[in-house]
Amino acid sequence: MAQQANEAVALAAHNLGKQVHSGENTLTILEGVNLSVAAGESLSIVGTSGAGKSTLLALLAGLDTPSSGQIQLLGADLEPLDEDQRAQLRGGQVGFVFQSFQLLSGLTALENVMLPLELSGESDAQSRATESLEQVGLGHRLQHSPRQLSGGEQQRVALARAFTVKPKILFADEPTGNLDDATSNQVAELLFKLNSEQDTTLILVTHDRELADHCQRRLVLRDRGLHDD
Amino acid sequence: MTSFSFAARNLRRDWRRGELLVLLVALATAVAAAAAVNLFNDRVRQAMTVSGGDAIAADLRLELRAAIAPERRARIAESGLRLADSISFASVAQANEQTALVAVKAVSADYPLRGNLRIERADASQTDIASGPPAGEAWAERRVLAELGLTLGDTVQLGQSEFPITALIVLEPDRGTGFIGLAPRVMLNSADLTATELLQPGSRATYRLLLAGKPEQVSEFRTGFEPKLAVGETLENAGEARPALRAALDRADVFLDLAALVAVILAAVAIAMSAHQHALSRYDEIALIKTLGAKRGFLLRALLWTVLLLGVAGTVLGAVVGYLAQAVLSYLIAGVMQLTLPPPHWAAMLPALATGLVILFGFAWPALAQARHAPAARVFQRALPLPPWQGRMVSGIAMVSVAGLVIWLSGDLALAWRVLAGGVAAAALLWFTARAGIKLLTLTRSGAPLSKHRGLGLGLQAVLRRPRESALLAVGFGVGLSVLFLLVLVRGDLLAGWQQNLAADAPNRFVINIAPDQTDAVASHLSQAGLGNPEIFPMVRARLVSLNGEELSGANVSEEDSAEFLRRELNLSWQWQMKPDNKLLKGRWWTPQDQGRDLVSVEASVAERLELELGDRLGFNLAGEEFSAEVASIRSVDWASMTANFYMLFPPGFLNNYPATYITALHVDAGQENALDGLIKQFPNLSLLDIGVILKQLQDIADRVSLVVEFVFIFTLLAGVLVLFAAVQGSREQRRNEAAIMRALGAKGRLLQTALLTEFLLLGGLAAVLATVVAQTLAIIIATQLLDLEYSIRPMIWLAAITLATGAIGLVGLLSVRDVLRQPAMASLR
Repeated sequence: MAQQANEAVALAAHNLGKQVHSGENTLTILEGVNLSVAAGESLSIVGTSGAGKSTLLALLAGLDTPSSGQIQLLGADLEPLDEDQRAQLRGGQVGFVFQSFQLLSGLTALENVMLPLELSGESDAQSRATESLEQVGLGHRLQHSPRQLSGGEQQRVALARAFTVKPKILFADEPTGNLDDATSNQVAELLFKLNSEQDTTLILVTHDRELADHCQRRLVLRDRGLHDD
Repeated sequence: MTSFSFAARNLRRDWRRGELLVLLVALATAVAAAAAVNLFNDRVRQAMTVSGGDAIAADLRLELRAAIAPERRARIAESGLRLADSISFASVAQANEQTALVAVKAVSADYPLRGNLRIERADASQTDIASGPPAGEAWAERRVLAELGLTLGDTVQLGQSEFPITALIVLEPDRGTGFIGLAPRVMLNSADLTATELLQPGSRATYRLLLAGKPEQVSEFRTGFEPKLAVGETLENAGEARPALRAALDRADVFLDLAALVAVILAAVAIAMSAHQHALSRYDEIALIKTLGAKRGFLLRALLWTVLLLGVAGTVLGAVVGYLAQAVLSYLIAGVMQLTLPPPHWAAMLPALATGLVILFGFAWPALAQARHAPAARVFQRALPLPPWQGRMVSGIAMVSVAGLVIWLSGDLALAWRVLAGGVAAAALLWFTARAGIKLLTLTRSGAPLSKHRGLGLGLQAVLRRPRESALLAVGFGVGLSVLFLLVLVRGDLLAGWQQNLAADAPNRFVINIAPDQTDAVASHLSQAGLGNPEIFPMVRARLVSLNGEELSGANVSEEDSAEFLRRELNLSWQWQMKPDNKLLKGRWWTPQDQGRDLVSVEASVAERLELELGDRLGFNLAGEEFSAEVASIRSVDWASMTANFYMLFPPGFLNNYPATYITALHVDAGQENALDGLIKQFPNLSLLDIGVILKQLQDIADRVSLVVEFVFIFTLLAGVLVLFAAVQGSREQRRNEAAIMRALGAKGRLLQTALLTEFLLLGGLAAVLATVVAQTLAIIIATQLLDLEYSIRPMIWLAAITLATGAIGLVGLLSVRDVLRQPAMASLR
């Protein structure tokens, strides 16, 4: 029974806290955060600048370690895992979309999308990456470097990179934050389309309420904790 | 994807961006410098120890006091080496009822084994020929013909035989440059020697067995034969036969080692700087691929591959350049050395290859390896602190590897220690004075209102805002400039001092064999001929035979060259006044009371070699008659003055009873040759020695060797420039970013230019002043400690250097961010 429950929950946080120390001062960024996200669910977390959204996202994705509390990601308790084990958990199961796209400038669009596939040892990386880029409408831009692409195109490459591994869970950090309105809408549409096609669990962090409304559930990060909107 | 393909792809990309250029060039420079010097030294060493050469007309030369026993010769022949014989002795040649003292040399059919004789036939054609005269003929130097009034084809009498002179000897490979070679040469075939009856039992002659073969044969023979040498026998190769060349090369070796060591250290500094810079630029990327699932093991392997691929590329490039460079060095030196330089051993390349790997892993690896600890969460939070920089560990690794390298490369612990200590002291001096200098600048800040000179103010602010970074940059510039200053400005002085350039009017002719009753006449002839009033010195030849009553022989002195010294006849002389090129080191010079006393003043190198002290008694043998004298003083002699000088000087009156000849040295200009011809005609017994040729040869050697050294300095210079480059490159991104932001905020291009120029001029000026102090100090240390030269400071040159360097750094700084000033601000900020 417990096993079933775990499988149904893609991400859970219990009493999560994060403090940073700067000299003699201790700054509490997050405190007593509890969260449970069902597999396939889409959740948005909104909050003002500096509320700790990015910190929370980094903790939930296992990129940073909390000062207190526990996180279960895809059924695995993150606490006992070391950096490599966490990387292994992420590989092929967790996708990311960033506000600043985070494409490697020296690689072509195709190579950028191939990267996570290659890292997890997939043999058909090139054909799968090509397919993903075609899905986001960039089949004709495979060999272009990020510098040669517009902001919207770069974010579409990032989406292709995120979805090409068919992740169970996708973390998106202000995915439209750097884009104009029209492009934002296109990218958002694409994000939710791919999300529903692949039945991915989505954790979306944004300050854009409109974007947040596309999600099934919406939480607000305020006063160092998560609250229902 | 494998870590290898990931590393290869990143390298390709970074290469296209030009990020790795400094690193790669620095690595190649270090390897090339080490390879060039090591390979070259290896070849020279081989040449000096195993290889033969024209200078002795063989690979090895066995010198004996008597003819070699046939059975011994046969045993030597079993080694497979080719053999030839030569016997040299002084004799008198006769023709037309005239006589001339000649140096006879009888050679066997195979002479010379190495090199060629150049002869001139009656039709004035010159040919190089690898054999001596055929039986029944004699070849002679032009002087013999002149002295005897003969022409080619005429007959000369030697002992009981007569020989037609069928060719003139223009060049004899193993003629030698010592005083023994004074009399003109007559060369015979050894088959004719017995018939002349010139050599009787007890005759003084030099017997030589020449040997040649493959290097390994020669080397093997030498190892086996050397212990069997009897007293008075020597076995030497071309290098050993030429002490002047050896001395020049030994001295060059110090320079070459120094140049290569400094190049390696500087390259290491440039590598460390650019690796650090490269690592910083990799943090974000590493954080990103961590989020995509890359493990630390993968990252570590990828970084290892990066360093290895870089290492292989840089090392191979450096090895190729180094190999070519040693070929140039060898080409430069081979001509004047008259030595065959054997190809280098490949093993001599190993230290250079290891140098590449050691400085890469010692200097680049710590910084790059650190990058793999970039926190993955940086993808969301750029401001996330970087992993703590393990500075101490990094500098520890770097220090240990560079120290190991320096010791290994130089193979000279004392030199290595000095270079290392000098380097550390210079770096520390640069760092602390740079920090102090910047502190001082802080004080000036209050006095300069920003509003008036905004550009200057902004530039000053930029320096003061990051005092640590500014100081580091100044140290980087300072290190590069120190070496540039040292090489460009001081090198000339050092090399000039080393070459001991002779004064233009230094004597280039010796007149010897002047009879005692001819001295006045010769002096007045020279004076009338406009050749000045050269001093004429008496000379008595004797051998040194005992020290404090104990017999001295080759067997009881430690050094081989001391033994050789004892075998030779020494020139003894006397004089009241000590010559200006002599300097009294110990004891006292003659007073009138010393007239005729048994005292002697000994030249310093002889005193050192024989471990003489004041009061020791030296015994001499002059044609069977023995006498002794007490050491009253020890003098140093400036042999480079090329005037007549003597190892042993006595008070006037003591040697009066022994047969003396007189000698003088004079300078003859090109147009004054006729005056000398007149002298010889008037006094046919005089011999004239043209040392101009010898001097020219010595000068050529010194010139070429210094050219070799300068060539290696190119690597050092390049490494210095690379450090400057790495220093500018290191701060370029940040500067570009700041400039872009300022432009976005409305700063005009001109203001930014002024600010940047001010910043770089300040840092450059600071660095240039510090570099001047460092370079000057190093120059003095090198000159006095390593090369025993006097060195004087020249302030005007330094002033010019500081100005020039400051300006250049200002310009380079400005150029490094010029694209920011041209582009719209957004393009740089994006």
